[in-house]
Amino acid sequence: MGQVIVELKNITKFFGASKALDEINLQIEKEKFITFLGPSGCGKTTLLRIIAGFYEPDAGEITINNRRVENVPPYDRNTAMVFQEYALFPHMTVYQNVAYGLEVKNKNKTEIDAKVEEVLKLMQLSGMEKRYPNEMSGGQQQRVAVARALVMDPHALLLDEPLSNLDAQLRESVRVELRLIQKKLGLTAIYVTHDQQEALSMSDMIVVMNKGVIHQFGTPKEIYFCPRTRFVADFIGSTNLVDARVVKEDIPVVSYHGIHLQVKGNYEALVDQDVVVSIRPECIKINKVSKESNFNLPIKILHSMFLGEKVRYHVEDSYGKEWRVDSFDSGEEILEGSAYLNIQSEKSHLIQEQ
Amino acid sequence: MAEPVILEKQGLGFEFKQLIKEPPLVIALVVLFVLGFIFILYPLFKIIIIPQSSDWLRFFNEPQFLRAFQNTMFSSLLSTTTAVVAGFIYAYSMNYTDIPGKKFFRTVVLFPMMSPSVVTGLAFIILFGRRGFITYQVLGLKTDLYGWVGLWIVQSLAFFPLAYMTISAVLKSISPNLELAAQNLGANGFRLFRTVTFKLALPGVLSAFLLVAINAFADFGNPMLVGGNYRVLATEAYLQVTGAWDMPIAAVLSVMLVIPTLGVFLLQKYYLDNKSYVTVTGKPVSGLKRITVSPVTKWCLFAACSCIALLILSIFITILCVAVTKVFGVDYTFTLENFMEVFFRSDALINSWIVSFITAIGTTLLGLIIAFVVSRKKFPGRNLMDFGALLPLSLPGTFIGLALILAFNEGPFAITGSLAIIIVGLVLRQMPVGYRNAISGFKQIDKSIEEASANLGANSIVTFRRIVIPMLKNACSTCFVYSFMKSMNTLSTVIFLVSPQWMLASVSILNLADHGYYGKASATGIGMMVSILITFAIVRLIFKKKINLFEL
Repeated sequence: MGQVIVELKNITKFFGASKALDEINLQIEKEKFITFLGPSGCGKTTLLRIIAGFYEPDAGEITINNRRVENVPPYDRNTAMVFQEYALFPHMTVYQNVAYGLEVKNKNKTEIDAKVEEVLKLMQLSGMEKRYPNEMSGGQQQRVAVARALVMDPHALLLDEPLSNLDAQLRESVRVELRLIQKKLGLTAIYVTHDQQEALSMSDMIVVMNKGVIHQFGTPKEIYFCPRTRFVADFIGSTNLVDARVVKEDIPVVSYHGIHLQVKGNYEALVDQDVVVSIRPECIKINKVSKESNFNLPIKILHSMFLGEKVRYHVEDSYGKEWRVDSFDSGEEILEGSAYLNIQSEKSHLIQEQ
Repeated sequence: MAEPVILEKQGLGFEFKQLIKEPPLVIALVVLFVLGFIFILYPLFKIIIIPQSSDWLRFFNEPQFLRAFQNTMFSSLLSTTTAVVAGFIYAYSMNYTDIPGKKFFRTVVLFPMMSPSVVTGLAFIILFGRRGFITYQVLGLKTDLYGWVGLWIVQSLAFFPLAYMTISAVLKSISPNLELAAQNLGANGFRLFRTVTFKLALPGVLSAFLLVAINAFADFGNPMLVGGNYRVLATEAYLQVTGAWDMPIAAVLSVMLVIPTLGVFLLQKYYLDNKSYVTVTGKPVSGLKRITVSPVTKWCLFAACSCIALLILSIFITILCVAVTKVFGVDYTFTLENFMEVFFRSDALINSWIVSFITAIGTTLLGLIIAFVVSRKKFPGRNLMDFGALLPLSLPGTFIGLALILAFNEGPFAITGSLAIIIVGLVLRQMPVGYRNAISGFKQIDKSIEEASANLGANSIVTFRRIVIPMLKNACSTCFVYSFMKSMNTLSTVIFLVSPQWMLASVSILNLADHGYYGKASATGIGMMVSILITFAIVRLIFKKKINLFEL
């Protein structure tokens, strides 16, 4: 494990009577790209703002770069932030915006000039020093906001849904760019988003949050393929949640109405325990004829949608459960009628019931 | 073992703890509270403590005092109603019709704003007084219109611009979409006006009514000039001080005057503000054209506006004519003597300019600082500070003036008769406007911009200096211009505070008019308007921004 740069211990925060954060514990390693992911109101922005110092937690400890900071005001934490609406100073030029933080720190003029120039070059903003924010496009403003934070050389770069105001295409290219810059500079970045694609594509680690608690902290792959809770499974991508009963413990095997399926589990499940299994739509194959397999379920196709790279099926089995299945074998689709579902055993996953 | 219960951090202790993290902010707050204590709380305390119980009883036992109270109520409500009705018609015509000459109409309204309200009274006595141009010269009447009738006419005219400005702002902020929607649903003409426009505007119109009422209650110059024997509380208090040096009864009268204004203020602040459908600070909805009225209505409104505009114009034409003739009504020889006298042989105009300039700077800064801490910081006593900053709005000028001389006549802060006490009085009087102006400025700035500044390492003081002030530059220039203009023109606040060394132009108009020097009084009035316009031009050069008086 690398050096921990930001550590949160038992962070709790109320807004009036409602608990916005409930005993959050988290260790963020240096030079990693961490994403707080969750639906709106899950507490992710609150947590970010607590790290920045805009809110004080009602309980808990925050350590940034080996220094306890609960009582340190925001201007003394060196956690530069990129705001959702950018919050550029409208009365200052690009140069003045970026230089502001350094000037406040009373750095000398030549040093400021050099640093600002370097960062503007990095963000491909050279030549725009004299422009005012309202003379720039949304994408350019966003670059200025990032430059203004980068120039501070922060212990952790905080990003609060910085891409939400960009159009879809630009968002995609900025994602890549941000990630490359973060790697190049060896920055620790804490990124807040509600967009799972963004989280999966950019992060080293993802913190999935809901209603003020952390549901899972893991790599994008762990989050996607091994969701720990029903919420994570449901929130990230789409999935089929299947009620089943454990029939074998060591290598877990569950039974769904008598049909056995070997699954993965990250906790000990006991025989005869009722469990929920998450199966991603793309991990299911749909066949016209029954195949020799450990999971072979007859179904009826309710509806199929052609989505370009894949076909999404809504099907129903004989027990009345609806399944979602994605098929990427373009050209040989079975678009209606009866068929069989075939599941690859290692792609199914036991999740903890909340 | 039971787990410790975690509770939300809040309350006084927590707010104190937060404050101590920022020492410069603590110092600023302490200074503000000390200032508030010395210049608001202490004078209020003094004016209430000085009268004995026998003085309070005198108010109820001596008929002249009760009559003054009744007179104040009657004449103020009468002229307020008239001004608001006229203001509404005028504002409606400007915003809902395409009558010709709108620019002219809008400009005419600015004249009374830029001159002291006594100028209206002055023109009135010149035209309708005992030796009035119209009553005596033209009609040959021996009668005059002193008393409540004259006061009614003069105050209605004097407060009309205020009513118009406030109501116009309300009408502007009604979204045309709502009216279009109503029209789309079949409402039209008068029905549309009655069911939508008027209903939406009503809370704002009521606010305007209360605002004008407070000003009418507190008006001093006009009752003094045209009231004759019809005395109101403000003039009665003044006459008690100057005639009998009876401070206690003057204090009682002033407190009695505060009771209605304070009532109105509280009503407005805590009741009406919450009922309003429109936010006056909101951005006007652009791009949509309002539905205009029928041709008949349009020309009726045009006629009404023309009458009002002509009345206002006649005041200023009269003043100008009087100022440039030797003895108006007797000797019509052209002369610049009156102007020479006013500009070069009297300090009043210069004094007024200096006093108003300092006041305007003080008001702007103080309003900005208080608005910053109240709207952006959490500290114990925040609501108290908000209340204290708005309170002077409800205090009549004569009340503030009297309270200040009572408080600072002696003791450690004996500043009566100095320049300082005039400025203190004026800053107190104008601060609420600056404060409100700045508050609405802050509402338009996203809080994240200041957070960004803190995030980049700037403490509250640096953020205030480098981010807040530059961003509120426009609000500041508006506030500066407004309080400068108001300070130049106010009479009631300074009437008790001026001294022979520090005579001000507005008081000098009253004195000159009282002694029949109408030429010099008129020239002073015009001199004030000219110096206000020159100052506007300077501010415009500095801020490189056109001053829009309609924004005030």
